[in-house]
Amino acid sequence: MVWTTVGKEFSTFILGGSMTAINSGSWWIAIGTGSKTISSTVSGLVTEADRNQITGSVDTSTAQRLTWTVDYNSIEMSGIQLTEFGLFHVSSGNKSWIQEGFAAVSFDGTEELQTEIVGKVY
Amino acid sequence: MFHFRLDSPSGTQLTKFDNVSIDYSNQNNLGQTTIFLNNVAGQYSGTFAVGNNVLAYLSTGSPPTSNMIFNGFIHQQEFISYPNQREILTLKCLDHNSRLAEVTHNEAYSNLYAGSIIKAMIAKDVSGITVTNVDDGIMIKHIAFRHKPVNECIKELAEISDFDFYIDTAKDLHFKSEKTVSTGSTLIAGTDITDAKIKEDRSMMFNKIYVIGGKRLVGYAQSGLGDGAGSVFTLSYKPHDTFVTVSGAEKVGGIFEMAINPSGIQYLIDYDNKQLIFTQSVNCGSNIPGSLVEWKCEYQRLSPVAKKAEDSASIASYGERRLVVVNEEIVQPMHATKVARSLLNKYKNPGKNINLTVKGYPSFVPNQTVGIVYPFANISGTYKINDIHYNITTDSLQAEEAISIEVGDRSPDVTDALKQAYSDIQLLKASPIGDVDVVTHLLDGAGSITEGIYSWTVKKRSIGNSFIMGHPTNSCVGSFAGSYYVFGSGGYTAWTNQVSGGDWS
Repeated sequence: MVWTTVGKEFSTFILGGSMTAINSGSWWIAIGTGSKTISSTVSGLVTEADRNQITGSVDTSTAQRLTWTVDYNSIEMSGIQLTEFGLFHVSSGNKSWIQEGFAAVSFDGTEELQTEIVGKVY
Repeated sequence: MFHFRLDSPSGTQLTKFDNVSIDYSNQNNLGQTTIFLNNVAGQYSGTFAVGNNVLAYLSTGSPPTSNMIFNGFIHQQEFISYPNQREILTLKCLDHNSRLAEVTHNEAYSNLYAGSIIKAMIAKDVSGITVTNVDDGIMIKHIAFRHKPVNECIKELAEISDFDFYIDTAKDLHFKSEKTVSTGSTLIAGTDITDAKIKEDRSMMFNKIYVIGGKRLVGYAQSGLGDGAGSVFTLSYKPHDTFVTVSGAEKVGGIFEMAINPSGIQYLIDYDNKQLIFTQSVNCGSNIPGSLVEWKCEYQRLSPVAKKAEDSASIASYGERRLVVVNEEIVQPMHATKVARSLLNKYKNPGKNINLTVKGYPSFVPNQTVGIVYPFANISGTYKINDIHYNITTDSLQAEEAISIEVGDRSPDVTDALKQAYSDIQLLKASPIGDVDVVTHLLDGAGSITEGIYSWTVKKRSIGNSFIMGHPTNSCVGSFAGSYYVFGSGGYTAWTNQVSGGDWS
């Protein structure tokens, strides 16, 4: 999993105290069913299926760590072959900050999904 | 004028030779000496024996009494008779680094520094070698060696720690951080360098590294609902040791495409296509799950330890070059990560290989660094010594040109081709790797800032019998097909990890 170039660019806004460019700290994790090689220049999911906002706020209770957790219910996940997910600061469109792809995880309508990303600053 | 002196086992100092060749290489961490003696009238017929210790010195003074350049033992002696009664004795000697290659180690370690593991290894399997200069290295969570030569074990620890190792002429093992120990010498063109050959080469460059370790079986459970017609269900992974139930009743399994299946087989497993097939035939009866009847399949899936590391800047500049390392002994993901990262760091740029003939007799040790100033090829920096070659003849001693060294990155040669062939054989002999289900990407892009990913996880949980408004089946209250859902009985299972990654550090 990588911090994309877009992620690094927006991080500089945070360090510079400008939150408006990143929508005041709201976060979404999108899920998808596409597949491609992930690099730092990736711009978003191949085939986005859904995008949910994190509940509450990012967990910063552990020093130098940021934890984003987003859940999807069984109705949203029914029939999906999950292969990719990414972190976004807007509810639709735009480019991912963090993204990963993996072998398909299938959902048959009786299962819920929880995605978790733990970033670190060092 | 420099002199060479060989201390024979009897204590006799031999200062006259036809030719002596001494070679050190950090590729195999070995020092070798070949001595050609003119055995006139058989004068040396009883002087030497295999196993005798041999010491060699090279310095001013006649005979030289300091600067020991070789400490080893006779590995082979060969008497050859040429026409006209010319008798030659050839002695082939190895230094004490060879002792590490001649014994194997069989042990597993957890939560120890690499240096501590090496000290334990030497104490158990190698005698006569001290460990005064063995530094700690990195903390190793778990590593296992299965009757592996000790030098290969130390080499593996050195690679993941970014350390070097060798045994010096005092028979002390050094395990030090790479490129941190200097010879103290700087070789300058026109003063210290008589010959030079400098090559930059992408042959030994790799910017996408795969490390494939050992495989582990991990339990997995899958379930679904029949529709009364379909008999084939696709599983997520190739299944081992399946345990199938339909509505809680255990079913008897068989293998797909077996020529003869005994009667009573209720399901078949097509391993390569990841399919669970319920049977329906005269012999087997009808075993297809009815409409909305739950089937469940518990099985083991092979989970190989596999890590990939790549450098996007190197790929963009030079094109992609892959290196695949297969090592069944790597069973910890963190270990695979460290190996991948270390190899990428070492090989991501084209190698610069420098061969020099040196004026005079500075003291060199493999893996130590030396400064090189050679403006004719735009060389000015510090490089690690890979190979040292002493060519001791009367002429070379008089001209003070007996030493040549190779520094920088190693240039590929027939040894590398043989190593690649060996590696290919290992790949053929390795157990079938199968699909790599979880590959964590380690990208070392250009311009990285100090942000990283600690971990990422995708989890699932079953909704059980929970009532969920709008759900196609879990919003039903009442009976159908003989079953019913209890309003709000819950039954959520715990979250279980499906895939994950990160370096967790």
